[in-house]
Amino acid sequence: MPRQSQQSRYLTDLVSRRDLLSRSAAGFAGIALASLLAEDQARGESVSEARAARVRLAAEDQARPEAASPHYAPKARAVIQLFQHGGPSHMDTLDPKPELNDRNGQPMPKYFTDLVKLTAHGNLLGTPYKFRPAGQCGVEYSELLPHTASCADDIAIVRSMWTEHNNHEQALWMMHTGRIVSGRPTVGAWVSYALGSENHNLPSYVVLRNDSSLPTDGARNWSSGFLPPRYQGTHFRHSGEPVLYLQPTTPASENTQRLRHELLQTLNAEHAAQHARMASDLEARIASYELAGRMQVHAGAALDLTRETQETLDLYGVNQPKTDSYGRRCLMARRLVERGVRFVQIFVEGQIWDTHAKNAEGTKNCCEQTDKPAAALIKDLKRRGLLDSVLVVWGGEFGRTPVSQSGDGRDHHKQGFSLWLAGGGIRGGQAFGSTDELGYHAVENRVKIADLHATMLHLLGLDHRQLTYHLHGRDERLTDVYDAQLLSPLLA
Amino acid sequence: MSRIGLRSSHYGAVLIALAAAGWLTADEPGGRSLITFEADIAPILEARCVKCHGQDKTDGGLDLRRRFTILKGGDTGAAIVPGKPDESLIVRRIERGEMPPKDEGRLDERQRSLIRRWVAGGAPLANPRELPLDDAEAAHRVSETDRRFWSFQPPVRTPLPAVTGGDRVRTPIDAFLLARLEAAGLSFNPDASRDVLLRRLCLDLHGLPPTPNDLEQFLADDRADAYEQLVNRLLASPRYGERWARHWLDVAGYADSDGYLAADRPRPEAWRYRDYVIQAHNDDVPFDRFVSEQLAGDELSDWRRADELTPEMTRQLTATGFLRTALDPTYPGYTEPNEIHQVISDTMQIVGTTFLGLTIHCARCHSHKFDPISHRDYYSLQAFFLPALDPARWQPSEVRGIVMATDVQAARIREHNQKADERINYLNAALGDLVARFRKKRIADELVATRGAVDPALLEKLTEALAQPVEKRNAEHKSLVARHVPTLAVAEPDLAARYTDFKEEAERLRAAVAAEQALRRQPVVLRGLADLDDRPPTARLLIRGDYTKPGVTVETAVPEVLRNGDESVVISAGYKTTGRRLALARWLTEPSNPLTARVQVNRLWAHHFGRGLVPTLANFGRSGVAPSHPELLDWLAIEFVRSGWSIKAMHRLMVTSTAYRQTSAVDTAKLAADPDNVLLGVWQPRRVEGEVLRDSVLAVAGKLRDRMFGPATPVVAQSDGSVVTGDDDAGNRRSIYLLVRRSQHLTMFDLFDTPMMEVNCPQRNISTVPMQALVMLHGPFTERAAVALADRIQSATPGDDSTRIDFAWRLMFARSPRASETQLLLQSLAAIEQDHLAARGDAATDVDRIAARRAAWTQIALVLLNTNEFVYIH
Repeated sequence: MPRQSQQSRYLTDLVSRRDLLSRSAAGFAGIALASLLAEDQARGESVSEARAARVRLAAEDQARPEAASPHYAPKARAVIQLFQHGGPSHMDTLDPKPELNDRNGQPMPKYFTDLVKLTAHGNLLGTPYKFRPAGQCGVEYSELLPHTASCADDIAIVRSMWTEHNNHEQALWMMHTGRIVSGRPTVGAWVSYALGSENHNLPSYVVLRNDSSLPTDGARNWSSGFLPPRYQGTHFRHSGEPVLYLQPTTPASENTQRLRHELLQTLNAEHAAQHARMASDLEARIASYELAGRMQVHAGAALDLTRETQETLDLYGVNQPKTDSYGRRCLMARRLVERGVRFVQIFVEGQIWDTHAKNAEGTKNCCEQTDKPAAALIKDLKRRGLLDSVLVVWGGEFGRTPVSQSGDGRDHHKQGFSLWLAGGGIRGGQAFGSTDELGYHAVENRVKIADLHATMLHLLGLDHRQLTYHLHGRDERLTDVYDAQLLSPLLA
Repeated sequence: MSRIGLRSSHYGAVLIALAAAGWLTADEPGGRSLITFEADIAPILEARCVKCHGQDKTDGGLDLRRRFTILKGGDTGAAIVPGKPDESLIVRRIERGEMPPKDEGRLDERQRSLIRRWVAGGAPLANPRELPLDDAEAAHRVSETDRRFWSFQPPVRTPLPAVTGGDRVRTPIDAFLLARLEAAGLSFNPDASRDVLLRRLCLDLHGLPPTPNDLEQFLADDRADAYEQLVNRLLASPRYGERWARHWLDVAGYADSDGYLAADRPRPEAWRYRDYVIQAHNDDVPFDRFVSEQLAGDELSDWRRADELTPEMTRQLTATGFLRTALDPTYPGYTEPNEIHQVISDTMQIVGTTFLGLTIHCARCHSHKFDPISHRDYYSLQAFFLPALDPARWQPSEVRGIVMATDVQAARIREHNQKADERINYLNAALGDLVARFRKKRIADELVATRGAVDPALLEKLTEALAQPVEKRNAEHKSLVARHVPTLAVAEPDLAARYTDFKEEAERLRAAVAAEQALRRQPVVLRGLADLDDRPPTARLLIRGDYTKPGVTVETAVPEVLRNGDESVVISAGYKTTGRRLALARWLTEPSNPLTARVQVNRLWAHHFGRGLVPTLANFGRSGVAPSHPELLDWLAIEFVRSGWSIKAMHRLMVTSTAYRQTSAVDTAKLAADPDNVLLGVWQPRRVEGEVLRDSVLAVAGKLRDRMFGPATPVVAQSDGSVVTGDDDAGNRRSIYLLVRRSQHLTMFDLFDTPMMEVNCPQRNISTVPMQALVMLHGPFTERAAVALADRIQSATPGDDSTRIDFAWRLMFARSPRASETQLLLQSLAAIEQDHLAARGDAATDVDRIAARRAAWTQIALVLLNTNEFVYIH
């Protein structure tokens, strides 16, 4: 194709004329989209190659000024947060309470009401679901979570979480940003800010929400808050194109896109040569178009589940009616962390765990959607040798009351709830902490959100006291003024 | 165990064990499991006892604010003996009813029992150590060193420094800058070319690129003061206000919704304040008046007692919208105290950062860690706003506002509406009669039809039964209806369908009611702020910022470090208003105020030069950055006041300087000596903001609509998660007129660093992320613009493609293309066209060729919209 070579020669002339080659060697590498396509095809999809690519890219990261290094040797290099929006009922899932069942239908005991002022609520509500010991460790799980239970030896349950607010919004902010106010960066944004990306073709912080429903408060759940916007989560969709505007709204041929890209980058290169004062800004923008081009090619491939075996698809419950949406996203998350994405946040559909009425049925339904995919993620990561370096965190913004609401429901509950962690330096096969005999208060080894956050950062090799951002004369941090304690018993 | 009242051995044992292990804390309100001093006892003492024992005085030498002071006790010895409630003085005196004094009311049983159980349980603390008595409750001492800090000293006018390169000094600004440059062995860059200056000025002052016509005119203008004339023309255009109001709205934290909660309730009247800011900029309202209007526009005139609201009064009342921008989740039925106090606190933060350039909000919970702003200072300043934002008489967001009518007008409106209501009631009654009459007629007709005759008694009963709505009918009604007329429908539409005369009469009456309703007058409820009345509430310091822990009473006062000797702010109440905010505004706009003018000129400077003389625009305190050119900053601040606080005069001064006119070209010597361009030997190039980018795209595509003012253009959240505007006249207005819905941030703005307004945004970030490239290359907004731009380029100039490329360059970049660029464009055009035709193969017709040409130009247009040159100002 003579056209193409003419154009390339022109570019070469231009670049050498402007004495730009040395400066832009990185900025303009692989300028043609075609070469990117070729590269992607050549790279294939095998895990070892992806790993090799990661090593190479990680090495490049070292050279990038904005890529910070951890404070000490990390256990985990990525986090997948399986966020259970709405607030799962701990008494029906992870926290067995035989005494609650014994007292089913009775009012809260007096020794309790003497201490705690209860708002208008019904009587104690037991769970209809059986708890059974699981795995070698014998930690008890509800029969609603058979798949999760089968991973019990890899999972550490925390049964003594508590948080600070009973409303969804504030509790969401607490869980995601460490405070019950809006406007602060999420854990993912902090991690992204601290560690950068391991893969130059994908964002470092990816959000996989259900396409048809936003969680309460929408994009603020993955906001960069006061951190620069580049650290915010990028939302990938699980149907259609994974990234907003990843492909042109009006289709254009590959060749046209390539010509367009070449023209743009050539004009930009000449412009940059004329305006060296802001070379770094201009090159950052040029590079962002390169990354956009690479994402156009790679993000699709990264999330292309047709490259998975039928066995894997079945494991996650893809194409099975209850689990398809959540299973797809769990599988996507594995593909993303495999490719060096740092933080993946998966949201359920809306706030399905918010079982104000018909708690037993609602909770069962939620488990049916999420249990199998979540367990599949652990198993799949493990067999690929990734579980050691990927931290999985499962949980919601709060728990639910041991007393009933409108007869068969449970209300929001901040004083005690459960979540679990696995992989990435977590010692599995244990349940840490406990609530009282009714599941109301976290009493033993109480864990506040800041403790959880500090521990997550710790596993990533980050000291929560050192990870700061200077704002209005103050060094802001994820754990803010809390006296955060590492959850040492959870660590392997 | 029974000592602390726990009866379940299991539960109690766990608690005790945990308390011993230090695991139980009380920092979980509502969830406390053990009686501790901090969680249970201190609130009682603070509410009921500390007033006499520990805060303003310590009666009997007793201070009840801390456990250690209680243990120390007063004149009669230790107040408690841990573990022994019966031997503890305060338990005894409280339980005997001796304390608090009778007229203060006894503690209730729960409180008495808590205190007894706490002492019995060993009087435990929740935290391992107690905080010392907070010195913030005592008056903060401001030292002489504090007062001497540069930003708390009034500006000083220094003589212009001498420079060697005098020919480069156009304004005093240049003298100050050049002196420093020369000291570093540097000087200004040469003046930029006219096309560069035109584009720079247009984007800076209007937020829009110059048109090819502007370019032609300016290049042809050979008057000596062509540049100054251009500056004047630009400042006189309404586009100027639309651009610079945006900067101010950032500082004010403007939004069209309440935010915070997921509902993000809309603020339908907020746009009036946005329009005020635009108009004030265009009118060059002196900055001191601008400040006063926004803080106290309601106190500037005796508007309530005027005959009618003058346009001036309306303007000033509208200005108070500044104090209504904060996030506000309160609505009727939801007025939680913590939310209320957050609204007040955010408002304080906006006021502090906007006018004082200080982070006074840091002193909400404790005295400022860096600046001499005490905890008390914060609440003394807050006291200026409490008469309007009184937590005890809180008006939720949508209710709080100014009814736009004088007392006379309001009375007149009431009277008017009363008369209208009387007529409406009369008409409704007539309508009711009509319906009743015809209902009866309908029933009679039915009885005749089914039974051949009407029994008057039955007719009466049935009429009464059917007059009731179904759900209100009693058993007798129901059985009557079921027996005699089970299927009869007598609602208004049924009657109208059957009787023409009824239909006509009913319609006439309904129309009359609607006409009367339309005549009712509803004054606008402005989203502004006014005092609730002239009786200010007592202002108290809140210990640790906690509204449940009110501390000492404070008076209105400005921060001590800024007080000039002993004179404090003079407040005089007006009609139904305390006059406090007006007093504050007067103090802020006194020429001697060290901060107001400095903060504002620094802001203007930062927008023109890319960096503030104080780079931390909203932090002139110790944790901010000291001014790079203190003498210049002072000179500008003094000049600002001298010019009558004219913002446009400041613009003129700054943009006509040599510093502003120099090129942005790099110079290795300068780069080495001054890498951050602090000395300003180069005009600092920068990327345009998200709004300017959007407006510029619309402008070059010929799609921008210039209709000013009025309600905001709605934004639409799409199913794919994007937030967009329509492609219509409203959707293609300037960005400042788009709805600022906090939860629905326009996707393009979200990506290009337009602030989300959690509080306000004194300084924006600039980020570069690949999503920006994707939205600009693939998003529907730029795709549509590219089509329009391509058509414009193709149709605007007859002749060959080189001429079109020339036009495109002048339109987009305000310059002519270099030969190499034209050549590159021609090649690309041909290549893309070829690619489109290739799909057609040999069968390509002329129609295909025209389409391919248009497609090629569209792709070119899209590329041009994405170039760095288009999004950077040089």
